[in-house]
Amino acid sequence: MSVPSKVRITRRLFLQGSSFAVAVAWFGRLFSVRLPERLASWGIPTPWYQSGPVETTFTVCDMCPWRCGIIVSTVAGKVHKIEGNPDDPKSRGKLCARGQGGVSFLNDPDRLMTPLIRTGERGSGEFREASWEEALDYVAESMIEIRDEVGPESVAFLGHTSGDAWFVDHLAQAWGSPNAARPSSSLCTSPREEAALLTVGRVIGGHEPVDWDEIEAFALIGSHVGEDTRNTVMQDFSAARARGAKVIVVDPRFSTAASKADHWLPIRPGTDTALLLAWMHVLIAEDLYDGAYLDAWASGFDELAAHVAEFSPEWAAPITDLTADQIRTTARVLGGSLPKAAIVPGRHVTWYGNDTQRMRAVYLVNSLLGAWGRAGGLYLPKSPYIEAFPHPPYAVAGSSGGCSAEPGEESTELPLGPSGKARADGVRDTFLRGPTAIQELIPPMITGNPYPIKALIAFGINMFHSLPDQARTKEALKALDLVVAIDVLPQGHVAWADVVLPEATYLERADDLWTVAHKTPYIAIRDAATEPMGNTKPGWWIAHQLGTRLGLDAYFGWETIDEWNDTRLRSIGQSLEKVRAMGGVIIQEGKPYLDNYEGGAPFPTVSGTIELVSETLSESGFDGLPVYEPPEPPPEGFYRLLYGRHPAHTFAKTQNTPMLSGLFPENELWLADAEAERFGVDSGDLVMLTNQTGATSGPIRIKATQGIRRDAVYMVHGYGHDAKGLTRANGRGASDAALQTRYALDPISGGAGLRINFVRLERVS
Amino acid sequence: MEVDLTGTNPESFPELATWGWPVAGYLFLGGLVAGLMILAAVLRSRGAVYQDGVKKADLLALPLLVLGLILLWVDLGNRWNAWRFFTTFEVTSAMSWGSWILLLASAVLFVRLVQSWVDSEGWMPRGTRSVFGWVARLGQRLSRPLDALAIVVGTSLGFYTGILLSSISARPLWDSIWLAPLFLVSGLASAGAFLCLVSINETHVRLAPFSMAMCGVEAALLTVYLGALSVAGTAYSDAAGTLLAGSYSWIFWGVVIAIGLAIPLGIEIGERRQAIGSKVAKSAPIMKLGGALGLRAVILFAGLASML
Amino acid sequence: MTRLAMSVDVDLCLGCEACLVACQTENELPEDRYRLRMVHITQGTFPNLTGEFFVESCYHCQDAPCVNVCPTGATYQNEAGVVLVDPTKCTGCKACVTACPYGMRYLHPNGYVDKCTLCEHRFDVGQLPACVETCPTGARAFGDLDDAADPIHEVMNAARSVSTATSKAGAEPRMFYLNATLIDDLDQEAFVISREET
Repeated sequence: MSVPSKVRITRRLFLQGSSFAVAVAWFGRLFSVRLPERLASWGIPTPWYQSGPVETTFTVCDMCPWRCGIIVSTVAGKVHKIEGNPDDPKSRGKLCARGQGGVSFLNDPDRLMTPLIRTGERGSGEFREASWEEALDYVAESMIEIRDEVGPESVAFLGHTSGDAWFVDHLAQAWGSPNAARPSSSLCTSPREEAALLTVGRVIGGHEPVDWDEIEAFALIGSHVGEDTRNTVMQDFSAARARGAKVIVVDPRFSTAASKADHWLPIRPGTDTALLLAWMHVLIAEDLYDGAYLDAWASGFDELAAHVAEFSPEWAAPITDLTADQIRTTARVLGGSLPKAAIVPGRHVTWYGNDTQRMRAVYLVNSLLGAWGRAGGLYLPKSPYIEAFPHPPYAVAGSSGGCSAEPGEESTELPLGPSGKARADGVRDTFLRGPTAIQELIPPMITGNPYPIKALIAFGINMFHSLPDQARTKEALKALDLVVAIDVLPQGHVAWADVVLPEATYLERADDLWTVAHKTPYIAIRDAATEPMGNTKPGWWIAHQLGTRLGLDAYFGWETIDEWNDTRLRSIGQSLEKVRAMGGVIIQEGKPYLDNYEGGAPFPTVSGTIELVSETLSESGFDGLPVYEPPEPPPEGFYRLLYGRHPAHTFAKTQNTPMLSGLFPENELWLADAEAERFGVDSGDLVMLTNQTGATSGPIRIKATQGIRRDAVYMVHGYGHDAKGLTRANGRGASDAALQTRYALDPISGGAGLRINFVRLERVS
Repeated sequence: MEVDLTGTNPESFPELATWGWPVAGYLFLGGLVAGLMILAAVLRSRGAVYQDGVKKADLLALPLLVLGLILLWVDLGNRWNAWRFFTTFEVTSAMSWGSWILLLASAVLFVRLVQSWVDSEGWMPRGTRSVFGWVARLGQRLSRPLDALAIVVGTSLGFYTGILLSSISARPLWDSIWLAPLFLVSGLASAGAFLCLVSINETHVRLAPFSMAMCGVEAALLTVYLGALSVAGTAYSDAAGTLLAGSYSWIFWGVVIAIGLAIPLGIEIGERRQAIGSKVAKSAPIMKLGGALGLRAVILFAGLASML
Repeated sequence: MTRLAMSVDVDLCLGCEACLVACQTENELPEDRYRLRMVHITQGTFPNLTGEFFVESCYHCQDAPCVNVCPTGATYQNEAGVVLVDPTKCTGCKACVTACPYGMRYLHPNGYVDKCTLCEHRFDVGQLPACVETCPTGARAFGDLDDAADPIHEVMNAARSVSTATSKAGAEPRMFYLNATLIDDLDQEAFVISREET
């Protein structure tokens, strides 16, 4: 390009040139920096905490029955994060994997979204969508028909998870059925509670009253803290260890807790009572018991001492497959720290059918250690004071139980329903006492004895994974006139319902106040953090709708849950608004130690003392002091089937939750290395399990390990779902419940001992 | 010892699976193009008998490089951000060096391609005549400096494909100063084989000794590379062991050594001694190219699997 | 100077996996992708066994190989010593994933590389990283190593032992495992164990 001989920089040229330059620069920057940056950010979503104002809600987690107080963070009504509530005595600001995974549970694409009414055969899983009107009318009309035909007692209300009280307590009692139960009694805690009532006149309660802050030595029998990830227990266990507390773990398996223990006793399954008797023997023989305490508070010491005189460590060693030295040493560890020593009461204790007696043995050890009502031992929990929402007297007094239930009145006369029938679970007949035994309500559905149960309202409970003998449960479901499933997910039994009512999750609904008997008794509110998805409804609303249709308006004289909760809170001078503003929790003063009972009765047994010897039991023909009964050993070629929990899972509830499923999508079978070698399998190989009567489950992958005895196998409970609607969980792993075809009924508490099933392995090519 | 893992991501477990066949293909093509750049530059002034090969190199190098770049681009997780490679120069990053070397190589090869095309075909698409013509003239006028540049850039390119891997010391199989010269020599051997394959017989005959020599050097470098690894410590000798006797040994010995070096060498010797016909002999360069691709692949995959 | 670092008390850690999930929800990770990884090691013969949990995450190495290999500068180390990724600059070339000797980086399905950020967005508002906040056993601690008054010093001084993973590829990891007995086994873990023994 030739340059003009004369270039005159005129003002016009200057202005044109500079505006051109600016334009070039602007466009240049746009295309080389701004636009590319805009494009580069295009695929990258804005983090939730920057996408709008964050709102927080106080509520109570429901990912497991422990129920920690939580703070839920939402943006524009969408739940993003859940954290522990620093003011809550359970979570103390922290939260376990399941609690954190609540966001994923809420968003599970497999959730039930609309009411369904059965179209095909019961069990076929064929349904059509229906409106709430139609579905609720159907249920109410069917229930009324059954009541008019045979009486309201013929409707069973079984339930678990928060919201269950609306059905197994409020509705069932208003309606008039004593056949209401939670699985968390006879399939979990009943033996522990009945043994406690018999020994110290109190239940253990939903929050085990271990005085962790000061304890110096403790024993866990089976309790696998760390795989059972109850938030507070993990916190307390770790803090106690960090302080130098001594830990004894009694477990046939090298659990997480065992890996943290100072002493791990790999006990032969089913022989714990022998160990406990030997511990008592050592504590007494070596004067490692709190004599002054027992003089003041207990009765029957001489008889106990005489009873255990023969149960030496040398006697117990071959029974338990431990050494006498181990037994003696660990007794001394406990005794040496008394009274700041205790055996932690455990939670799921329905093992062998003689579990009430084993728990009595646990409590006798704790009594010798002087732990009850002492700092560093087992404090005495107190329930928070708050009044119930006023309602007319119930048609029948219920006994649905549950791990957090207030102990019922143990009366000689069983409460009768409106048509004169007591509960049908065989109490006083096949077992002595305690809340309704849920698994015993299944036979009346089939046989009609003592009277037919014709309807089932199942709220949240997983019928096939919590109850033993799946075949029997299915037979019952076939025989019933009405099956109603109120649930969040299409669990296996939901396919067997006539009517499916989709409940909103705990994050989408407010609910009744959560009250906890505790060292610092407290009340926590449950507010909804977000709107219910799809056409789901809160449990309280479903109960209200059913109640009014069943003519029980008098018990549902309130319109919203807020009204219910506010009324209750006003009975203690509080209100919903106030509690929301003060951290979501009201903490009251407890009476944890004996000193707090000046002049009062800390141990309200029949005698008013800690009853080392139980005359209540001996008068009913049971052993007044525990004796060891050997369990049936596994037949040749079989292993005892043991089961437990996984840190990211709750029973059979969370295997389909996307985030939690990813952490442990299928369970494994723990098999001793020596057995794996003998059988010719390696870790990762698939096997089918067959039990003693031919029931099968699997395939399941082997985990060959040094961490378990040769006479037992172990798997995490809650897998092997047979539920096509659970896309992530269906068919993954094996189901221990499917192999628990028989159970041993505890004749005292009605608990179902589930560890009496044996399995053999078959390789799958 | 029992180990249970929770929370693994598919890129790292059960094996590191970040780079696959596209990257192996790119490493091969990068080496090939590097060799072609060097060979073409050196042979351009070596006599008429080589000029068919030189012309083929000039015309085919850029398309091969572009194919390699496409493979690289396909491997990216965020393809539309690829322009970011050219907004900065990260001196510690071999890949950053490589991005700019590739840009430079593309420029050099583009000039040569246009110039060669114009010279040999004598025409260019309408409408582009002035631009392409300008480029072609540039190539003609600056031919000598362009060749010098091609040798420098080509050597850098060949070296860089090795340094790309050897700069990642987390993978013990790659942590060797011998990897870069190995890849360069392999690239030169590939280029020689490639030209033997695509050019007229006379060129092929002339290039055969060079090609055989390169195979010899490559074999020597492989020995030094693996030998050095074998004495460097457990992680390194374990890594080398996977090639020599372990899970990758069949690819290494079968493809890289036998198919890639030994058998072609045998064929070429036989051809020189008139014992093998030229039709059969054409299989030798094909095998060598296969072996070169195999070399990149086995070092890539075995390297990803190697751990410190 | 600020030098942020994380520590885990291996003796306290129960392997409950709360930290893995807290991180996923806090950072909106895909359901099957993790910034934290848990390694459970059991050693010995029945009944003489030892077991420990090691939760690994990006070690924010002093001389991070990932930062060195990044061709676009997308991966960088900020003034507090935190190794971060700018997703707008990341091409997903995975050189950094390949270069990390500890396997702590991964390719997010959105196309860029992702990893632990020490929750620097929470640090900016005075909060602890999500994993530290939620840890029920109190095993996790976080703080500024260059601040003499930071409580993390107390935690580390009170520990019976302080270890890091072996420095590999010159990385000099800066995450501390306290009171760990099986730390040597950790170095052999995972990558090696998960492959078939040949």
